[in-house]
Amino acid sequence: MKKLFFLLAGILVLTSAVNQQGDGAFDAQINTLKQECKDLIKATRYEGSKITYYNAGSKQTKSVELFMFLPNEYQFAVSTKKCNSSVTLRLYDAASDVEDRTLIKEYKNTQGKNFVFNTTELNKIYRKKMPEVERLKNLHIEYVIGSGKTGKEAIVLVMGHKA
Amino acid sequence: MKIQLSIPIVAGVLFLSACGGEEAANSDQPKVEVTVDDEAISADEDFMLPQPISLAHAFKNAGLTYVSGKTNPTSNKDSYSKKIDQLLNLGVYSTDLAYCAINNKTQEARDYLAAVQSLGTKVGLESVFSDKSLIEKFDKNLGNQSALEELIYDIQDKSDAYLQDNDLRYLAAVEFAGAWAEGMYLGIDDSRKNVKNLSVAIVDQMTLLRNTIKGLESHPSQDARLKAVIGMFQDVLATYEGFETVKKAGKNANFKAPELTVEEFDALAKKIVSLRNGIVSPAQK
Repeated sequence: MKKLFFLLAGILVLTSAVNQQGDGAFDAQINTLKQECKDLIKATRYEGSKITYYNAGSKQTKSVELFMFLPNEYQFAVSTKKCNSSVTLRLYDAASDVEDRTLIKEYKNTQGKNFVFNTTELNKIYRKKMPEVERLKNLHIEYVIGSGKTGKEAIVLVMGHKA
Repeated sequence: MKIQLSIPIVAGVLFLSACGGEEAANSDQPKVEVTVDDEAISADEDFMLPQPISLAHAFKNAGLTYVSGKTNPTSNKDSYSKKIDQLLNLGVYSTDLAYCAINNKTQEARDYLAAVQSLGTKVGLESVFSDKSLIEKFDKNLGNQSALEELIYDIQDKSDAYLQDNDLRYLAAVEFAGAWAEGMYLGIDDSRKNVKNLSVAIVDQMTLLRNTIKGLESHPSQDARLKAVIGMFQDVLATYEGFETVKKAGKNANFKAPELTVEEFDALAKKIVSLRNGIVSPAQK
């Protein structure tokens, strides 16, 4: 009985060690994607980055709030290369608790790629919808993640602005 | 986020029980229950805070001018003994560095860079701030404002990367809180000269306060000093959200910013000054 207990304990420790190693590899991949995103907007001054980690499997929504206080063009690079589940990006002018918030732009089925967008194009769209607003100062990016295979996944977002 | 790992452990215990034997029947077996933190799963609603130098730029664009003697003297840097105060004032000095750099006060900026290096090293960011070549790079670019600004953005980038790689993002949140308080202090003090534009910039940057508090609350060690600091920030937020003009303005930060009355503006200014002084002179609080 004791032998069996130690065997099980050993398996637990080994599993934990393998998972930790797996996490290390995962983090290294995320760092590579972050660098790829930075390279996509390298003509800008780095404003920040946000890695959104989630456990894939069930449908879920995550969001990131961003601030753009300067009138300069802001550029955003997103990597969904570490996503197997479907990912739709929805860009809103306010948080989900604001009833009359406006959907500015939507990017469907973005999983598995890197892509960029900027405030010049977003402001154009936004001003058509909200003529009274001069420019976007606050942006809410919603990641709508579909159901799929279980596992840890992440979306990388890097933001910069032109000097 | 916490994930309970009780199920596999309980399953293991059940398996042991199923193996029979008198030990399995022993009700005195210790219960095995393991809880692990899975910090890596992001909150459903997250945020990204701007760089202090971008906030300083926004104020400058709105008309903020450089006033000598307003920043936190670098001589104070050795008086911060608690980690929280070191982190907060690392943020304060980051804003002061940006404030001097964007106003072409290069000697002052150089002094603040040294203060940022000193406090940065104290809070555990040696690998970012112990780089002796930082000052050399700074000196090489004296007189080139754009290059100095690039250098400040580069330092922030390295600092962020280090904190992210080492699961220390909550430290960045405390640093940001100090940076925000100093920026607001410099802005609100100067705004009396240029109320129209600067008050818009101040109201814009008030939208960061709620997330700044969330960031402070994410720090795992909620000691008395941190709780007191959070209380000071909450006091500013409660005052601001209590203003009639703010209540009427609605929640969408992209729409017209509330125009504070003189009384509201003065009340906010008092709170900001008190908050900032409570950060740069912690012994007084």
